[in-house]
Amino acid sequence: MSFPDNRHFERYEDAALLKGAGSYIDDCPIKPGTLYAAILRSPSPHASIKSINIDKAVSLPGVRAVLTSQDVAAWSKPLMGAVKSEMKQFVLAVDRVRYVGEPMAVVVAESRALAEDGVELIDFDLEPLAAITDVKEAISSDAILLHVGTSSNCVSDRVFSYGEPDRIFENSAHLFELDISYPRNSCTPIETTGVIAEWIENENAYEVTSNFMGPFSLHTVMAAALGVSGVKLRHKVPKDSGGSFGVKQSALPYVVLTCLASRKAGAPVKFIEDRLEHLVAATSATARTTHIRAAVDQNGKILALDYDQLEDCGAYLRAPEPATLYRMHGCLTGAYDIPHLKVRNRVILLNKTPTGLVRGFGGPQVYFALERLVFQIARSLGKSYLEIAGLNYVKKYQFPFKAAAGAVLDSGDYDKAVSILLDSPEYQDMLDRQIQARKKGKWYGIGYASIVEPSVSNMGYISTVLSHEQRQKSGHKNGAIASATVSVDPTGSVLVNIASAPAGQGHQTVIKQIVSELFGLSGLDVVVNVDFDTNKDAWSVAAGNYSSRFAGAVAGTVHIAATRLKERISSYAATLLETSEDSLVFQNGYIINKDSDAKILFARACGAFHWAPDLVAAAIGSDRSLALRETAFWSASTLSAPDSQDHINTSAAYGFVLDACGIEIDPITCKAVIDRYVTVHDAGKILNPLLADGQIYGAFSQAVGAALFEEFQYSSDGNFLSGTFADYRVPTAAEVPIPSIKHMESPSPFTPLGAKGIGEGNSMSTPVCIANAIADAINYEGIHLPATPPKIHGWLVQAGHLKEEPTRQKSVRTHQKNMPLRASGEIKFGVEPGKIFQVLLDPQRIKKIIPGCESISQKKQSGDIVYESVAVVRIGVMKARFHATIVLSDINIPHGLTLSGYGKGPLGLAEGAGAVDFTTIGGVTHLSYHYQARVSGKLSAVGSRLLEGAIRLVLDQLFKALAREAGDIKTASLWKRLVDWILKRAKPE
Amino acid sequence: MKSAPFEVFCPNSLDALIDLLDRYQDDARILAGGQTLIPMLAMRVASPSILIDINQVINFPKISAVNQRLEVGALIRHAELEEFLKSYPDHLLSKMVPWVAHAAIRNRGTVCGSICHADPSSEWVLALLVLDGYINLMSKKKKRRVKAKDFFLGPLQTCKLTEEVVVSVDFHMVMDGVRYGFSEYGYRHGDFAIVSAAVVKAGNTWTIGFGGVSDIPLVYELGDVDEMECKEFIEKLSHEVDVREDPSATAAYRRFLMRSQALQALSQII
Amino acid sequence: MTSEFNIKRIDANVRQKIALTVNGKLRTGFCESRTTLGDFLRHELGLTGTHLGCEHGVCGACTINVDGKPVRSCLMFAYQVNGSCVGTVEGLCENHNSDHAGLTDLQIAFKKHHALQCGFCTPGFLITCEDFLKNHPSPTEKEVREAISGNLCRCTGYAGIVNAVLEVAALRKMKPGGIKC
Repeated sequence: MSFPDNRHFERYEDAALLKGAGSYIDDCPIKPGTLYAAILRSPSPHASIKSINIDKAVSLPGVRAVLTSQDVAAWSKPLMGAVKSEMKQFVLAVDRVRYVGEPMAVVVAESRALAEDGVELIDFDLEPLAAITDVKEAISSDAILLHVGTSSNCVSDRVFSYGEPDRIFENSAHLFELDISYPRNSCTPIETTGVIAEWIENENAYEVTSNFMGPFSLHTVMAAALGVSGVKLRHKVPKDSGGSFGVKQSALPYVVLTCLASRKAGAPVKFIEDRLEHLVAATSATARTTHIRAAVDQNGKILALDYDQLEDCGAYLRAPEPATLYRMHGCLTGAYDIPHLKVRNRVILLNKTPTGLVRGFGGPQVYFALERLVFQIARSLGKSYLEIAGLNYVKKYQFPFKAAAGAVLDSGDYDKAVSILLDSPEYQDMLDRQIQARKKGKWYGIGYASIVEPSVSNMGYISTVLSHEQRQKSGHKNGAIASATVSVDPTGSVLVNIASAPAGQGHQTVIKQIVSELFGLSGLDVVVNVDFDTNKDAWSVAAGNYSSRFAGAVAGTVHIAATRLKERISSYAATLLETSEDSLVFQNGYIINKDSDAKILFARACGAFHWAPDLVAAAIGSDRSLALRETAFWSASTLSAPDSQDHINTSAAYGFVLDACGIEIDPITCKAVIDRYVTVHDAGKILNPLLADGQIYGAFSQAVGAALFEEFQYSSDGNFLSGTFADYRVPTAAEVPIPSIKHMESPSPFTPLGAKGIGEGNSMSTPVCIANAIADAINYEGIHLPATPPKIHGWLVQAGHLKEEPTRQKSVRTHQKNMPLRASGEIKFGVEPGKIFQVLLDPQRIKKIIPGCESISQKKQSGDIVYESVAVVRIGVMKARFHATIVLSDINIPHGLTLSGYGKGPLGLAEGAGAVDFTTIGGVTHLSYHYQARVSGKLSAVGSRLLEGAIRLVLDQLFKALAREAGDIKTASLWKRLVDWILKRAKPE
Repeated sequence: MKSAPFEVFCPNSLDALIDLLDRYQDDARILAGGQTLIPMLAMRVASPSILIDINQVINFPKISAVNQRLEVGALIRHAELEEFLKSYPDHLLSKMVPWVAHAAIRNRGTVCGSICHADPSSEWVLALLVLDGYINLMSKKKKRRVKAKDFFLGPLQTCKLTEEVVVSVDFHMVMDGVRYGFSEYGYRHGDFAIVSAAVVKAGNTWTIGFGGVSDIPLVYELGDVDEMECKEFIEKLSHEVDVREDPSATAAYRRFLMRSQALQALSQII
Repeated sequence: MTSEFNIKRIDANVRQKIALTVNGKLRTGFCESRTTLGDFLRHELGLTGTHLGCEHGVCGACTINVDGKPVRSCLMFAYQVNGSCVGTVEGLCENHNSDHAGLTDLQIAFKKHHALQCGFCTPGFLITCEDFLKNHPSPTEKEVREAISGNLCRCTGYAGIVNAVLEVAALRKMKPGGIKC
């Protein structure tokens, strides 16, 4: 089919958005009486819930209800998962909290501000448990189990074998292997998740509006959790959404939660997730640890691959996980013809945010392993990457190509992409710049990546996680049904409804383009409605916008529906114009007989169907449908369920991306600077070049973030550290260059328009391409992301390019994993240790040294001295109130003691322990302390940069107060002495 | 992220302001530019019951360069200082101002507010320490003028009492015979500095300051040394001083940056 | 303890009426002391074009003009603009009635260069870019990138935005008095 020259169609959506007239979830009209929700979230990564008391919250004027886990247990079921296990996932924590930010209760009030006031009034008591933050730790024999009743934190362990990998590995000329780890990150759209929910009591049904973007297979999960049938959960999606990139799949638990909150409150409830909540607890891409091996012949041909993947899925397996692992399963061999494959996938639960869809969805993790390995294979064999990749690529004549694990790569010409790259002046320039840079001794590397970009997911792929026997029992799953409705109204204008939930991809523009061209109309006469409503739209379990399915599936289905309508209209018009249907041309609002030039207005021909159906029936036959409305459902024919050998075609279409990147490491800051970037794309038929490039620029930008800036950081004791946009660093315009894009088109034989998805390619290729370039620049292989300047500095040291820096001055004793913050100091007292102990052992005197102490009482405990206190810690403008328990133990007068404390307050939990030692030198008492601490909750999430300093400050204040109370005012801290010492040395002799 | 409730007072004179501070002490917080305080209120890491909004106070000093000192009053926005400094492009403050956050923040945030906040990475805190700065405080009981090095006690901590307001700060402002250099590095444009370095050379006396390395910027004065000795000092310092480590950067990297940023700053002078 | 001074005071939890000029028109509305300017504009005045992306001043989506200068509307309280002049994205041009007319030259350039996808960050960019162009009529690409580094976009990779600003700068130099309504 042909497209008009205005394929560069500017976007229809833009005028409204540019004027600030978008309709995002927070702009939607709400019913009078709608209330607002705020969530009490766990400050602790892992704890037993001893008690929750909502009395004060409920009594706050303006608070109308508080939803608790008892309500949730009574009115809902745990969320269904893809894997059967004893893990139960209610939308509020029951008995235990398992990740920082896990919802514990919901306050519903007359405003969001009042709801947050209510949240602060909820008293709760948590008993911390050991927190697991690492996959290997999670599966060690003595690891605490996150979920009672499970036998392991590994909830799925599947092994796959295709061909004869073991035999090949035994006999190969070369064996290459690599350990990689991929970090947690997210595409953090600028608009967060929002839900407006209402419980319709009379019908025992729920109505929801949210910016959830699919897949709508999760609709059944939400309905089942709420205990209603699918038709009793009406779900609407507003026409505008501020970006999703898969992330708004995480609306799933909030839809259920807000519905239940509405039920509790007896009123509609609106919940808009704030940024803090989003970063801590919305979702994350999975972190993956992979051991990958390749059996390679003497020329560099890869004969077999072996993936051992450990997947961090967070504290709960939230549907559709472990889809991140299985989305790529069929094409684990990437762009290469590798017949033998072995895979072990272990799905691990640990105390971090549950994972889910994030742009690229499994691709970044797979390709980081595969393409790092291929790059290393080339380097080891002394060949270029392009030579090795080229040797292994699937060849043009082989398409459609069935990969070892079942992916049917539909079309492509990977060698042509290589020629495009080689011929591009930008690439040649990159090679030249490397030569020039290296002459000057600069660290300039060139990296590459080749990936196949799957699009239009086969909904059956997730069942690959089950064994064949389990699949037999649970039932066959397959397909990627897309649906669209096209109708012509009595005035001859066209309406298209699609179940696509766009978030900026320009779906309305592309559909208008397709439909207006098909019917020969101006775009002004075509309206595309993307307000989605499960009770009024045609939709399927695959509906929504994810896995880049728009171009391949949705647009194609629109074309099918529109074509059927066109055929019907043509039949009638042909009779009017006295010709055959083949001689008709639809153009400029007319249907024209191209032989005689006789014509009729499109609107007129269509009008007859509405106003004079008898005429139409007489003309085209009374057995023909007279409806000017056509709903089409389409699914690719190649999307079968996994077979008995676990072969699965995970997607309908597979694009190809080949990237080359020139990176220079700046010697002043150790940052990786992207000097040149070329990306060659084959996404089949391009529907709109402007929009296609937009998707590439966007994916590239987010991938640069993932490669160089972004990571959800956790402390070793499970506390979340990246709670603000100052900590989680989304790159700005000053950090993201513009890549050179080269297009080629190998149309897909399996999608109606030959189009494939284009939205996720660079998410998958760019991170590993950048990693390869850095490895090449500094000649170091242990690259992991994000490759931040401090990390690159460390690698430069390890690779011998920079000298090692001395370790910290202050010696630190055993650094416990679960107490990652450290503070040490020394204070000189003019009084003897005995006097100091007197203060410590007297509650009335110790009251004067505990910061902001409001009250203190002493508890008797054998051997130890225990104080209960309310302390107010002041740091700058912050005042943090803690209910604190302070323990003095190992009391050894006059030599020392251990001072530990545990505090709980609205800003989080703080715990610390340290040794305090006294030595007397020349009449002066030296008190030295070595303290270790951990801080959980809000202070940790938003203040991680300054926490250690703050702790030092608090301890310093405490010990200075101790000195004053003991009768001495002369104090000095260790570092000041050190500085004086340095200054003395600086002055000339 | 909505603040906890608070009462607001909007005094329009200094006298009214200090009266309020005296009355409410620790229950009140001053709201000037709000660019640091309001996020804290929104995150509820600070929940004062009273805010004293000083934006209507008419009799704070403005901005003036007199007798080799630059005085910056409490309500001077970063953007206003930026505008004023266009007449002094080679001064240290002029070199620092483009690094302070972003334009929209500079339009509201105040220089004095940033100084009271005492973030270890703050450019103005470093500037005060390096440029023989003073902080002019006022309370109902007294006025006092505090040397910068006595003012900053730790991260986010100053010796300002709750009943006091910073009326203005002043910096050494000499162009003749003095050369200035400044460099900082943050991961993204506009981010807080991982490490910043400021150098002032007056004759053969060098003042070198580092921000972001420790809880308070570190400042050293070297008398009668040449460029080579200065560089040696920096090298030695980078190995020996106790350096912060936090989720944004390792201690080793900060040491590396101390040297590279100091050398960058030096290169503007030499 | 009454004060000898006559000090304006706003109680907590009590709605105040404020009056201000928004996009050239006098508007009044109610707010609490803690209501941010961003929330006030959106929910009290119905000007939903200004968006809240982070509520702590980093993402820039909420950027508007107060008394002619761009500020973060999430980092001001509504009561603080009583009597002030506020400009939002809705006021960049007065004519809202048709698809193409009614857009400023910058908005047209944004459309041409595909400088927006989801549109959520766009109002903040438009305010920031207009102010930047006013003060820097001949920017380099580097200057543009640094000037907009206080506004985050996840969809576009900034490519179209940078190109749009550079094009408008060039066009305005050729034809001063650029904004068309």
